[in-house]
Amino acid sequence: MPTTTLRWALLAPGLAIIAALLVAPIGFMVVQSFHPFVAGRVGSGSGWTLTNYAELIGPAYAFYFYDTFRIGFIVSALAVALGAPLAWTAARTRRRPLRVALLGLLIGLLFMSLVAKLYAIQMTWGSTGPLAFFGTLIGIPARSAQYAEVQVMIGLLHFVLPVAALILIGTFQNINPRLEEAAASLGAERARVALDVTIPLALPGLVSAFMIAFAMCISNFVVPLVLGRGVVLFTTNLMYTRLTEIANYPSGAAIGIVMLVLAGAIVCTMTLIASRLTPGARP
Amino acid sequence: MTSPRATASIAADRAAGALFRVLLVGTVIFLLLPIVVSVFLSFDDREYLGAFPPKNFSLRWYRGFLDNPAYLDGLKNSIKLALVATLVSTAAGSTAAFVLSEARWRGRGFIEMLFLSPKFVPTVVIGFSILGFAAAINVFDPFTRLVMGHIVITIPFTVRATLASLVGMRRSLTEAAISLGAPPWRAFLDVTLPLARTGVIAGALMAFALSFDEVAVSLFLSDAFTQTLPIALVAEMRANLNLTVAAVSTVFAAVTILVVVLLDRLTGLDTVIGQGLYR
Amino acid sequence: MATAGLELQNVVKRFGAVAAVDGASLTVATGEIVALLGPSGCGKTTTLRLVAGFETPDAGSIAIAGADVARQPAFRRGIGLVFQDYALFPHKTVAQNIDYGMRLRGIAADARAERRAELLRLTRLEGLDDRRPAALSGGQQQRVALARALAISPKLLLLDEPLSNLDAKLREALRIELREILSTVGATTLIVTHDQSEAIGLADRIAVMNRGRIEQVGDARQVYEQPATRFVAEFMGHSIWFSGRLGEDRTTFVTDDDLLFRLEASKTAGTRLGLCIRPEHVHMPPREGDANRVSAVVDRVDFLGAELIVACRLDSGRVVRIPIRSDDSSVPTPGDRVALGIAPARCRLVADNPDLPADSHHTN
Repeated sequence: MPTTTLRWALLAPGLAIIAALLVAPIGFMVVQSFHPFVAGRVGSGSGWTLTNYAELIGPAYAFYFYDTFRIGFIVSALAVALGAPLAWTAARTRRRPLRVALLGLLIGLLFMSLVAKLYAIQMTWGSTGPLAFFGTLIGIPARSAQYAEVQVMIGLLHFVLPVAALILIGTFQNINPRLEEAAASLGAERARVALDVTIPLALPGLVSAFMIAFAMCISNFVVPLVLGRGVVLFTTNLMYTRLTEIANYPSGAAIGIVMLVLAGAIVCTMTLIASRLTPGARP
Repeated sequence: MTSPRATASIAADRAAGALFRVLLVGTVIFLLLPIVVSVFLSFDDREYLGAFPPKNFSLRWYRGFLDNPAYLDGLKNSIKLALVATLVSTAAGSTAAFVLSEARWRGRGFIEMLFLSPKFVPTVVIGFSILGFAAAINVFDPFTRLVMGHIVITIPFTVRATLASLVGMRRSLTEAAISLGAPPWRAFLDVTLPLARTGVIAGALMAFALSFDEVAVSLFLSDAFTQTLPIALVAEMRANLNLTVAAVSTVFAAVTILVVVLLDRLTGLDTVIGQGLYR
Repeated sequence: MATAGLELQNVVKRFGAVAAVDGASLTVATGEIVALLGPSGCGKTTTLRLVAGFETPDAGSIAIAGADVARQPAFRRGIGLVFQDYALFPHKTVAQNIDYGMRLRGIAADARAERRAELLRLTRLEGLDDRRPAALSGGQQQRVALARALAISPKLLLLDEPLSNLDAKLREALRIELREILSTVGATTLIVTHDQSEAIGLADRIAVMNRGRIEQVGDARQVYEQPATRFVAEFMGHSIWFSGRLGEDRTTFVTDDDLLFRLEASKTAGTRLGLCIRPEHVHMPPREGDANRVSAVVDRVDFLGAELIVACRLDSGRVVRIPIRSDDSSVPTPGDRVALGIAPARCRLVADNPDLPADSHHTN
């Protein structure tokens, strides 16, 4: 097969793209985050400073991070809890049409424009929609400002549920169905089998799906933008407003770097937990 | 003869089964509902946003879409952008995947991670960083900036999709071609390339869909004159409650269904997901 | 002297610290079919890959049809390879698969069609031209793989475990068919296999391989009746092995558990020698001429259809399993004391392998 020179030649275009469009810009951003803000231009003044980061520790900004994380956590947990039944059914069913239908639904939702869905969500759950009663059901009337958070959660759920379900399909497929059957033959009802066999063996996959959903939620921009109605702001929206409202690139850069570090930390934690938790699902 | 304990256990199992089904069906309905509502609303005849369900139907919002220059421009830009980004990303990405699929060479794991890394970077950060960087290197054309951003976010998908179809390919196939007299480059063209075709196409489809739907990156890198369709939609959504958006949603949904059917015909959805160890 | 179809001389191939092939030598005459037989891990697959050109030897030489192939890359060696998993191109039809090698050699369409028709007839695959591999049965796929390899009129045909992917009944039927095809074609052939019956059924000669070395080459009868080493004796059929000391006059052998066997004089040389006995040569009760007799107690009797296997415990504690025919009137019962006898001619002196344990109870 190709020699080493040919190999690197073939990799070159891709690597150039990564270098020029990912590494360099982020590097630039890191540098900018340490520069002071000068009003009136995209870019920054000269000299080095930590003020951009220092600001973020204050309560006003901490709240944005807290809100983002809190909402992300709740949505991710729901995504895994609701996606698991879907995934398990798709993984175990012997009826091909059902499997294809579920897969088609999930893949279709993945491909479907999130933006297009957001409007529909607003229409369905909003104060004029058919499901507006849902708000009164949970004690937050559809017309209130707080309801925006509910809508954001619903929007994010639409975004991450298909992904979580697809990951979990892979997880459940790799658990030997004979183990579940063995438990049943020993007298365990289906709920018992799920609690004693399926879920413990699926744990790494469940954690994985949760963390991927979480990473997707906190990095999301459109959903809080459209459904948040200004009431709910994620750190991503904060970056945007830094730029559009006050043209403060360095501050936005600092927020971005913090987000990047957090995203990286999540990925590392995820790989660590996944490797620790593998309980020998395969014989 | 069933003991009271057995009866209770069977009853509990039935209840658990029912709960499971409720959750399953409920989740599917939850996911499908907005699309269904959207389809209905897109045919609503009313001028304003009224209570659901609509009483009269018309195609006005579809016409409205075709009459609206902002949307049409946005659509044109989105398609152009997605095509260019997909082309570059697929070319560079699948080529890289071919190299990465070879058995073990030094640094392979690291390079593979590098290609997949844009997935882990929040799109806002990508958009934001390219904005500043482009300004610093004197690139001010919004379309160029958009292409830059869209290429980098799509490349992990093209690499991964091609890699997935290559990893499953048996080495004995290229060796068979070689044993029959084909030099390695010929074996690659005759065997490896055709068999990786589905992976490459799947990757390209994913890249196109991703680019077409991208908001965050586009928002940072476009300007008032060069908008993508999602941006135009978002602007409308925040400004007023115009049902044209519903019409667009319905069109998107229809196109998506088409893409999924295509994927199933092409490789079978089972192949896209994989069958796991126990099939 | 005719040029050999294939000649390996002291070929060595190392992977890291381990020598997968450790000085293997073999000569296959033109038109001969030789089976390279050995357990998994013995180096036979590596040898195949070295001959095909997918690996380069660290030492030794390989010559095909008299020409040294050291400098030739795999695609120039003119070898027909039938892979264990058949490696049929899934995106091409049967016809296109068979044509592939011919196209690379620039053979014109009608010549290709003619050759293809001939091969399809030979392998009994007529009418399957336009099928895809996925639509073929295992046996059919194997024959397409063979036809594809033969289409290029190879100087050497290499078959990697040709029948191992088929189920038992099919294997036997296909073995006979494959033998006929190979004889008709008459190409120099090397078959790599771990299955004795495959080797015996398909090949003119068998080369038994162990730990990277070829321990014996000969036809099936030779290898079975005159094993060169203990490994060969135990790999081909069943064997009862006794370690011990050879007497001064070379006609007696005293085993480690003090049994005395009379042998016929032989020239077998070696530092460590042992006694190899085929269970089917042991008679119960002893016949006239069975100068070697020993007493044993029956442990258990297993019914196997056409024969019975009687497990006999010798006084030393060792258990040997002797087959007797089911229609034999005297079937022993567990607990009986019986006499076993074997003729001196059937007690073979064989060189021991240093790596095998002194008294291997497992083979018998």
